[in-house]
Amino acid sequence: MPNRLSGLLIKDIKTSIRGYFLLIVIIVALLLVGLINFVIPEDASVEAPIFYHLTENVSNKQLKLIIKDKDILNSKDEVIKKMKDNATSLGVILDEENNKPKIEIITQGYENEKIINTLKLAIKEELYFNPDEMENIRIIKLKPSSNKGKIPFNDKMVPLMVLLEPVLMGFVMIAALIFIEKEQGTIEAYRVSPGNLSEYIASKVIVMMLYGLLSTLIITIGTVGFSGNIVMLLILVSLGSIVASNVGLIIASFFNNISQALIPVVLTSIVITTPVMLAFFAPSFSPIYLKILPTYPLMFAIKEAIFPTGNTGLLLNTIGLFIVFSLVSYMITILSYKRNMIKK
Amino acid sequence: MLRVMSIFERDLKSSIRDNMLLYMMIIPLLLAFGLKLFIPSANTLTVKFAIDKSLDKEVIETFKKYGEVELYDNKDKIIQRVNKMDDIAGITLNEKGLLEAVIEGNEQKETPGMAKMIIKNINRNDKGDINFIISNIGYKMSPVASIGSASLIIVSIMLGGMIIGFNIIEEKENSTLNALTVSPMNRKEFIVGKSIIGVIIPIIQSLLMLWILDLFHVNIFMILVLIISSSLIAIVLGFLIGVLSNNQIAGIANMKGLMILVSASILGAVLLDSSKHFLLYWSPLYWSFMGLHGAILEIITWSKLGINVLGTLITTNIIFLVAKKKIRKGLS
Repeated sequence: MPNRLSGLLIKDIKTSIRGYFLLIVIIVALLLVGLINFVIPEDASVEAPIFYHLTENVSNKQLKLIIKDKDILNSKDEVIKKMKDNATSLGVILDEENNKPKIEIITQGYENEKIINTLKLAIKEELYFNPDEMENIRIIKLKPSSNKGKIPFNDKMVPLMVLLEPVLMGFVMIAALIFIEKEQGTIEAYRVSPGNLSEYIASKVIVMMLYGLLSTLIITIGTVGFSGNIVMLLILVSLGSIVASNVGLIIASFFNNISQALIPVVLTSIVITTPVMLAFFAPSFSPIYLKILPTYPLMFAIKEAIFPTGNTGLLLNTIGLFIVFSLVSYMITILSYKRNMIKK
Repeated sequence: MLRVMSIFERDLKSSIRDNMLLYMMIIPLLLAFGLKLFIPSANTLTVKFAIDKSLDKEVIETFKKYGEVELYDNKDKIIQRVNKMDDIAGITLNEKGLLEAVIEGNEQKETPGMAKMIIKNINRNDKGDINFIISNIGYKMSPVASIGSASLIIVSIMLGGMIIGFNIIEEKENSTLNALTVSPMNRKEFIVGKSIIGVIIPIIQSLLMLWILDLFHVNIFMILVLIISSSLIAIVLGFLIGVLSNNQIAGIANMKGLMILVSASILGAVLLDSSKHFLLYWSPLYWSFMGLHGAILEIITWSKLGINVLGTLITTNIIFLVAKKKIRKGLS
């Protein structure tokens, strides 16, 4: 069996290299490295910008202090104009009436009350700031080693790129590999050989995993270098890739050719990645439907492996979970191919 | 013209026979339904607090004014919750009976910052005397809804291009492309015939998506102009994928590479400060996205839309001129 598997593996690697797969994996990974290093800025932010205007009536010193180090615009109209250009921004007009601060908060119109209350509180905080009061409040850090240094915005994108490219690579590509062989009649030939279906599928899944690992190494070394826990990262990518390839194969098993399978496969990948991307940028976003997506824990685990905070539990739990997912998805893949392809 | 229509008819029939057209039509619409269900939860996005049940009701209510509150029986359960993957600040009392926050340490700065600010405000005797006035500029649509809707239309447009690309690969694999070259049909007719599906499908689909997303109040003519101009780049990319790829694996790989550039254009338009948008001027999809986003938010004028359409057409034209030789060679 190991001989048969290695034979199949060599054949699949050769087929994929002939299809320029290796070259494309390297080019795509290098493109991502270029994107992270040279296009995405180091200092970008997903925070909502706030535009300020200070009216002439203001004499209150504290009120004037709010705008220290901030971009002040000349009029309320200018604030509104700027806000219209940026759909996430807010405006604050600082005024004074009867020696009392009068502050107008201009929102876009879609914000909920909690966001408005938060902004009111933040302004109040700046107006009545007292460092002693802050000192008295205890914040307990469960993982004191976290947040050692500020990670540049572009490097923060690395875990997301690793999830979207090396891990999910097999999701789409493996379907193509299977359909090529189907059209060439390789599967028919294989059916009459002593090889079994489990080895046939395992070989494809391993090829995708190897390309995933290569892509991971190029992306991480090309951006954040050797920092982080590379071993854990490679284990996570391997398991994630196995599950993604199996799911890609399961979906593909319902279709006759790649053109048919392509849209469901691509759109499934959009469904399983888009909410996770939102959670990546806003980690407090965690509705139940997001938590049941396997990509959700995987994304946080990849992030933990690249930028360790000491959360070993997260890494081990995700690895355990993905070992189970890998086995279950592999068995479902074999069953679906037995039913849908070999039967034909 | 007849020959052009026969190519279109042939592609259409082949797509219907393969059920491809059905998937192409239905799945993006399902995505639109998904987005519609997803928008409310994304709009209520706030900081989260895991609070000890035994705390004063007034304290719990205060936290509810600023974020989402989950109640737990004791400190151990709060710690368990805080240790989970998402960002949440635990709120409990210390041995002196004072409020304290428990965090993991890897949260975004808003989570501990908000917890601290609220505790400080609760502890403070002088709540301050500020006259707050709240107003808005009348945009009722959140960025998740507007960006999500514009991105879905772009996805629909790009799917049109993808289908063209894969139809060409299929023709190459079946050698029907060679057969067509010896028929009376010329290359222009072939290209136009193949392209029709890439324009018609996104138009129908986008209209249905706007209806699903309750966005039929936007200026449909603006959306149509943007879809038609943006379809051109999808068609060029579709042909490029088709001629550059000798088989489906290469097709998918080439598509992935191109999709990175597409995603980069949208992500850049969303994440980059407007002063840095010039970095994206090379991308037709940047212009399309900006136009569609503006049209969906109903903040774009026809003159601004004209700039976006022009941007799309100029950059598409440049890409086409660069790729023209390759496409011509690939189809011959």
